[in-house]
Amino acid sequence: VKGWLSVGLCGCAAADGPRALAPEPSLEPSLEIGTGTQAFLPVQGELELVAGPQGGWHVDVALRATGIDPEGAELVWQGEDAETGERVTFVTTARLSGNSVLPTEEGWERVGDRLVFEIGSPQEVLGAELTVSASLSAGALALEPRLTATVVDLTP
Amino acid sequence: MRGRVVWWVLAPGCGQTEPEPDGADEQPPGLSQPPEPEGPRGRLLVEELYYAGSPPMGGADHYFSDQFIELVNVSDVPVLAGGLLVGDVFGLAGAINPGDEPDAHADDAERVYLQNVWQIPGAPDEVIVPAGGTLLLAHDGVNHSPSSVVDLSGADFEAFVAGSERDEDSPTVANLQEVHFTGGYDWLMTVFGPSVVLLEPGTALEPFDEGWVELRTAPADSVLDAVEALMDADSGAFKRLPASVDAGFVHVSGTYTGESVRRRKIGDQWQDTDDSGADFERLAVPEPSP
Repeated sequence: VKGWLSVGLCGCAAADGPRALAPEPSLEPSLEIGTGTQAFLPVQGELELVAGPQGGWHVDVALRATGIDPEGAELVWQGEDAETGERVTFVTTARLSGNSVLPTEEGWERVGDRLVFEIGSPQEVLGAELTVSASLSAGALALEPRLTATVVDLTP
Repeated sequence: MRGRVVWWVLAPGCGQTEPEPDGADEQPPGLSQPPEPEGPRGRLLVEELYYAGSPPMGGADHYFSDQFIELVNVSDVPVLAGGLLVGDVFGLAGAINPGDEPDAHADDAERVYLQNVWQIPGAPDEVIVPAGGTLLLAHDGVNHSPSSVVDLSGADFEAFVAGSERDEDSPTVANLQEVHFTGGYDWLMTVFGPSVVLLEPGTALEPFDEGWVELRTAPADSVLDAVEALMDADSGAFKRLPASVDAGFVHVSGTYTGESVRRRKIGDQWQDTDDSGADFERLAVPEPSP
């Protein structure tokens, strides 16, 4: 959708489909884990626990990418207890397209994915160290950045 | 893979609306002009409707934010889609609770009675669905994993309720325009089976006082396409649409089954007999275009 919007507002080349974000050849493939539902926000050591709109608790996770074509890329998120390595979240998956990411000058950002905890109470994870992994497969390219942060409740 | 979402918005002054320089319209031998966009009647149909909600997964037992409506351009020319209206029709889907009686207005052959109405933004030529292309309208334009297998983060439009504090505005999906919304924090179609109509742009809507809820009505001849879903095979008395608009109905096997209904395709032809019971079939897993 950003594709058509940018085409519609910024240029006159009629797009004939979702905007294919070709990898920027001058940039090495890179992938950074962040947070945010509206825009990519770097993680500053903490991830906020959020009550889901239909129950459950999750953290919002996001990606910032350069040098990677998102079209058809397979994305798998999961979270582990940083101390034990035990998976503590459900696995979140997505098949990306040019329509489902936000274009940036150097690549794209993916926002709005949720990492939902397999817990009965938020107390089970508040204060815990969570290791988030994002496994991305795009053609022959495979990347799996990881990030460890403390799960916190920022809303009293 | 089915036809992918292929459409675009023409900004004012761009593309086909821009006067061409002298001689620009002269075609080299052997090349033909691209077809001009045409109106949606007879060309734009409901391809798939997913309303039932997801089976328990990912920590959610009754997940419904993954609902979507997908439209398809069945013609071989681009179709003008800006300004189209889409709405769900008033009435129970069946005898959900003991004592429920049919309450819809299917006996009025002249009008359809709408509980909610949304509009695709823009002038007709600002949203164009190419030949064979689709238009995906989402309840919430986000990735619903792990609570559902449906990822709507690449949808074309979503129903965002600006006045709600619980509806999230997806940055990757444009918003439908709210025309008539009767409550709740998002456009939730009944998971028991909604009836959805697609209306001509510019359709004059009239208010109708149902008593406990304010409806809008539209002339039946303004309906471009419709799909009628009810609770189960025994719910025919609860039909909401007059037979002139839709002669039948379709249903899934239950709520929160993850099933959708999709228009049948016979060879290369989409079936459109104005009878949802004949035109639609049940899908075990929704298949929105990516």
